[in-house]
Amino acid sequence: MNFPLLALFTRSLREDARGAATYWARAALATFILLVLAGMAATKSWIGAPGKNFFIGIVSLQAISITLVGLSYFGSAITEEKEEQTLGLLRMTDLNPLSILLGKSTSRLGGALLLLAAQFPFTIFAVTLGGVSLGQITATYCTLGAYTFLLCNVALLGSVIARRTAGASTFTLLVMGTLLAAGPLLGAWNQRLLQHGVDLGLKPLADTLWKASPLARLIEILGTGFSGSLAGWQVASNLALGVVFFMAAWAAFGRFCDRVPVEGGSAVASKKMLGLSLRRPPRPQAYALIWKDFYFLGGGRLGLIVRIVGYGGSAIFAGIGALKGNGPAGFTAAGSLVTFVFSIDLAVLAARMFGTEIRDQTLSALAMLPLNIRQIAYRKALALLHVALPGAIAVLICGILTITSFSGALRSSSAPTPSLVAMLVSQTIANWVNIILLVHVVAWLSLIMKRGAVPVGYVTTQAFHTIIAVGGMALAAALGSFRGGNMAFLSYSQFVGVGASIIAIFILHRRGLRRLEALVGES
Amino acid sequence: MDPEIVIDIRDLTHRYKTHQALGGVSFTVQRQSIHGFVGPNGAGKTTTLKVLATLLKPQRGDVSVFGHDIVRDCKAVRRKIGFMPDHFSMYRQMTVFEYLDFFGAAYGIGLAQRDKIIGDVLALTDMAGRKDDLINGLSRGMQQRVSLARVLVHDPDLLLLDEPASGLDPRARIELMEILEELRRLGKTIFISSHILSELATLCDHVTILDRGQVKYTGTMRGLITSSDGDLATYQLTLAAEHPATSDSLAKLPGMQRVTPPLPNEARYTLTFDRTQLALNTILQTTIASGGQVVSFAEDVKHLNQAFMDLTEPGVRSDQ
Repeated sequence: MNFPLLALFTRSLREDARGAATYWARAALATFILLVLAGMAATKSWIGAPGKNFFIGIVSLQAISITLVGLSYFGSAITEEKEEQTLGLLRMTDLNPLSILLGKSTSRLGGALLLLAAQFPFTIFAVTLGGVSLGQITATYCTLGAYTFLLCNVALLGSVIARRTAGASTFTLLVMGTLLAAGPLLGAWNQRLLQHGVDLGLKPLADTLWKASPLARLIEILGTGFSGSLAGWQVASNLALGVVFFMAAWAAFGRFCDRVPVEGGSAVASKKMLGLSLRRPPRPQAYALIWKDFYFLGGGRLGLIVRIVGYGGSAIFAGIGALKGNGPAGFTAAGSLVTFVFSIDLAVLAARMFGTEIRDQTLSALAMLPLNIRQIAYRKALALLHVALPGAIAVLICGILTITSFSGALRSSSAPTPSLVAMLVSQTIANWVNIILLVHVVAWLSLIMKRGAVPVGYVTTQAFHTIIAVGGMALAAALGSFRGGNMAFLSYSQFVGVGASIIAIFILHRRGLRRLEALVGES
Repeated sequence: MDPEIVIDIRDLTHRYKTHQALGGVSFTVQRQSIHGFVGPNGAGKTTTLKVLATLLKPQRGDVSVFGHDIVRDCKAVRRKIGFMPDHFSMYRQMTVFEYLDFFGAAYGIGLAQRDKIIGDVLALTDMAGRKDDLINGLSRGMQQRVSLARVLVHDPDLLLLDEPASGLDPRARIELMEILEELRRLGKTIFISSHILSELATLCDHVTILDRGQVKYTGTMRGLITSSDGDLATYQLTLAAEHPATSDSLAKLPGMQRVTPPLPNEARYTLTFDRTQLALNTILQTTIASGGQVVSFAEDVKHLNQAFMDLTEPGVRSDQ
């Protein structure tokens, strides 16, 4: 194909077709689906509608994966050229903005859609397990496809506007968050107004916005007795909005991409934020590596203040909510949210811990210090822990409040509490092990991937937990049912999950250190 | 172990999967010398430097720095060397002072001592006026100076510099070479790699030429560019006109090995003789006595590029 318009697109498709990673990703996904399917098949006598449960699990993971991976994968479409300062070279050729946008973004969209399509035949097996129909599966994939299209084009606009991938991802997160939350927020506001006797007629708009979200559509499709069309309002609106965002990216290209500012032109050391002059960090004493990563990777004092306010505020907010009568469920929801945010925060720090050293080619200078690679890694990890301390305390507080709240509620209802409390305690331990596993996976991926370690790490960790859980269930089914009932089974699952995670952490730890040593030699 | 030998490499071999980077490299580096390490791209220079910098373990061979084995006494070696890689190894969001302060602290240097050392290295690299600037805003030449300052922070005795002048403009190159000269005067040993021999000619007293993972030459820079070999010296004698009588007289001198006759229309004779038996004055006196009119008399010096081309093989190796 010799058309300049499709030159980049063709090149990207060729690269994808030749790259082993494309096929490994598809094979890994298919294997994952088949493993989970086999586990569900082995335990179908325990669970009602195993096919539906399997499919809901897979779809939930896919929706989160698309969102997380898409944030960096789609968001880096144009910013990667800006970061490597190659966008100017592309503009010097016959490639116009449209061909660059098509080549850099549409090929990524194609790759993601192909990844979805590759799973489709395997998920159809869910029909044989019962509880889900072919129509539901097809409609679900249409929903996910349209959502992917929208996400890709929102991220493309972000990538055109922002100078770095992190900025593009933040833009995408904000826009997608607004689009997805607009319906429910407008609905809730309308409800409040109606309670005060004010009717602005916002309900139809709120409903329309809500129905455009993939979440609403998935709830509808996966409900019992779904007989709607394969592509409803959500698909149509997501595709239309996607086109609008693509057009916006095209229109904005000249404004934001024709003159890429030279990296860090300023030589002024003092920074200003919100009119306040930020002081430079104090001088390093002992443990200079911890000092460096705390101030230059974790954001230093400002980062610490932001985290204390953010996490502290969340913990206080959850506490107030619970005191107002939201009860244990309120604590659990707030605790889960804080834990999720904390794990992502920690994962981002873990990805940057070595990722920035590799990107800036500073690993060899660090390795020349009179420290071995293990000492360097541990000191960097210690700096990360300093930064993450407010989040860790907030997660601990939320966990303790949840357990206390649950045990109090159960005591008052005279139900047998010890086993549930024990389960909550073990759940808290499992959560911490999962966070540590996520950090290790992301840190290891940052040593082998140029970008996207956080989303890929998150998805990989979730897939690992799913396989372990389903594998544990299959094993339990093979060994015969548990005499202790559901509670005993849950404890057993947690025990297996925590054990497998600890083994994985140990392996990743060793492999990570070895990889670091190899990178030092390669750098 | 000879205390004058700073680097001792014996039979160093390293292989990257299918590519043999080094195949039995052996040479030594003398104390307080500036030793050039030259070779075409892919010759194995960076691999050798990484081994010396303890970043890469040698697969075969013995390498010692100041008598310390680089594998067994890794930490002792690191304290004595400063390695400047061929890329900028910079924390760009730091100021110049913060950058040097960080490395000083990481080497365990106390606060008061650090201030003095940083002041000294900034003065040496002429960066004292830019110490509060962000590294991100510095030019390439200035970043190279900061990189060199970083290498000097812990006062190493040996500097390993991997192509430090690459990408610098002519002025920055000259200034860098002046700094290196100054460092030698301060007693440092400098091992500097480059793929351009002429760049190092005026700076280095010793040189090792590497090609395709093999040492092609190691010795003095003078030995490389002259055709002299031990006691045997080669000189060029140019006369105003061809003079066979002079040629005959010189050939009969004791210690004279060979008198190469001049090319047509070129009255230049190449004389090869044993310098222990035959003095330069005797040659000149004999020439004048036989009626030859001397235009010039000088040691036979090859052009550096020619010497380099003679030693290295053309083309790109097939396993790259």
